[in-house]
Amino acid sequence: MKYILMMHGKKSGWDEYARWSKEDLQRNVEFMRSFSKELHDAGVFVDIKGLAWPQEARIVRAGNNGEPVTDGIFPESKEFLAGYWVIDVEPRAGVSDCCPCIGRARARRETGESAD
Amino acid sequence: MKYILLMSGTKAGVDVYRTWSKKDIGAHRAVLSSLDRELKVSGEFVATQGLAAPHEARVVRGLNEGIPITDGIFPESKEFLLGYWIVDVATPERAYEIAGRISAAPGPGGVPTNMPIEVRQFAIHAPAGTES
Repeated sequence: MKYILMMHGKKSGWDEYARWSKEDLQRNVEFMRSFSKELHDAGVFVDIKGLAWPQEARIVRAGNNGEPVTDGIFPESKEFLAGYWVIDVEPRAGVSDCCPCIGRARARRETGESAD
Repeated sequence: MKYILLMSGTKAGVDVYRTWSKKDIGAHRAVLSSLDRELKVSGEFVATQGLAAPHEARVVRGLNEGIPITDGIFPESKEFLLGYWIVDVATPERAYEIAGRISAAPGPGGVPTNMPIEVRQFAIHAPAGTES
């Protein structure tokens, strides 16, 4: 069963992250790397992606004339997706075992259907 | 440049979607499937995925020992990820154009849903673990 684990944060969280010391960043990256290796070795790893900073995020809606209408203004409380992991685990097992290792994450099951 | 197009909605929104007629759902899905085919032909399609209904969603935090603390209580206003498309396009404008097409997919009575689609670029540097 496939699950997506999503890590979110506010823009202020990104600013804070940017102030982390080199040592702290390295420790975090090292942790994530070793955790990914663990997932690989366990045969549950499917995908991992990091997203660009939310400054470039846009909300798009269809305009009346078929042209996309974009909006880049968000409330300060807006939680942006920072990155995600996709794992393939046994039903009802393993998900919450994996999540703590990557901190705050949202576990959602993927349907296996397309997004429509 | 790879972009992820995120479609989100509240639980109430999902409940409304479930009341759509079979015909409306069919028309909606047909338009999105045809867009997928178009993106495959143009070479811009990377992936698309729908997520299960949000009532199964959990927020998990790890304590010092890595023991998972799960929470399934969310505010009604919480926007859940419903599904996503990943596209590989030449410009951000092209990503916006595709997002606009998704937003224009028909809802009840053939009226466009006009759902907001969040467009995000993937990080240029690979996240830790991708290379392992």
